[in-house]
Amino acid sequence: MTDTRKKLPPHQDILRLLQEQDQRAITLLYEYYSPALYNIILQLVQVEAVAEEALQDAFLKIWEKAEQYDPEKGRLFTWMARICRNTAIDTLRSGQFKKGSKTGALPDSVNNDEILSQEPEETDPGLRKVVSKMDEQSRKIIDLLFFQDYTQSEASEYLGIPLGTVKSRSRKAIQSLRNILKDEGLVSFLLFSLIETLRIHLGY
Amino acid sequence: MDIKTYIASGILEQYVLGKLTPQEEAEVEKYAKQHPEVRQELDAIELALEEYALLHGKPPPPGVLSAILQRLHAEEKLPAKPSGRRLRILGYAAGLLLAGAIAGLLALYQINRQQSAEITALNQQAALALQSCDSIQIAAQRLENLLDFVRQPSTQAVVMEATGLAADAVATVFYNPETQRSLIGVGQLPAPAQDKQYQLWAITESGAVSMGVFELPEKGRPLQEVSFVDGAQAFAVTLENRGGSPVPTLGQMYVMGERG
Repeated sequence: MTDTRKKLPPHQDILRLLQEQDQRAITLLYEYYSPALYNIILQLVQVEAVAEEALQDAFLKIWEKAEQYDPEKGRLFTWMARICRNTAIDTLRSGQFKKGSKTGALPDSVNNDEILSQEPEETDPGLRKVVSKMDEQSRKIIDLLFFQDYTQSEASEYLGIPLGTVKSRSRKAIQSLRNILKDEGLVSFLLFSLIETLRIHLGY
Repeated sequence: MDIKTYIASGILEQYVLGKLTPQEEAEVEKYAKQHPEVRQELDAIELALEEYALLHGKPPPPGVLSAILQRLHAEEKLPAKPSGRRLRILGYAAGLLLAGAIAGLLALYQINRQQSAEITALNQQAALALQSCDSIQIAAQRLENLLDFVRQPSTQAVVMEATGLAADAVATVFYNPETQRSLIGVGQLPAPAQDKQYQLWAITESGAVSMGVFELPEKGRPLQEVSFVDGAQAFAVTLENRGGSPVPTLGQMYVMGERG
């Protein structure tokens, strides 16, 4: 249990700083997690300017709610990702931006699929490798549930498969993802990815 | 419930994806606390999705971080909790230090002003002291000069004695024909009326010649300079109207003395 939690070196330090309300926590969180979180938001709101604004809002919420985070209940990233998802959905609800997929406009969600399956694959060798090893079904279900924030019944409706199949398939998909990441020497991938991210972000 | 079945049901995935109702979430959390396998499974799912999300990462446009930090400052969300308290305490401390520094400076300024005033006063006193020093020196020199004159062998002291108008009247003329200088030292003379003044006379072969009027001696000036008259045989003091008289009023002669 603790093994997995220590896989990301900065995690514990960031958490400590965050709960001490040290502003450096925000900077560190941003450096490590902003690409992933930004992508989660962007997948939902689709418009970069809107995603940018929502990312700012989400980081302010992360800061304000820091003391509500309970490490016993789950990982920091899971918690932050949920805040980002909720912020993105709030943005969609409050503004003129509609979440196409959730209001029934399928072409939008098809678009979403393309964005998340194509763009990063071309740029990130680690991602390309992982995604290439996943079967189409697994990839799709994870993207729908994780990035598109579909409920299982929405996914069932969208994919035209029974709810029970969505349930079993989503578990299977995450299992296969776990196995692939384990096989691929996940930590080195991740570190590589983080360093890449930092390099791009900070412009080294 | 069998834990393996529970894990296999896919509810943990839904938990991590945030798809459960608060009730269902509480149930998962309860199981996670009771069963390490559940906790482990949750961790593995979270980690897998986290890594997947990280792999999908897309750097936000530049300037977002600084916008976030600016908003944190602007909305004063930074000084919220312990570090905020610390900051505020630091602020108070800085304020106190500043106030202390200002008070100190004011005090120093005040002291400086007082000292300046004191220095000015002392300077004035020193100037006064120097002045009186000067005047004392001048007086001393004058006395020394008079003493020199009186001690000169060529200076004659001619004591003039009372004529009867005032019994204890006495005065002395110091007369030096070589240096052509003469002084009068009043021993005792009655204080004159406001409109009267004593006048010293030299008695010569051609009669009485005025040597000038004089006041009763002030303290510290026992001898007074008087005009020198050549060929004096005797000296006399009369009381005349203020300003003096061309000829002596003989009825008002208080003292008289002959040159020996």
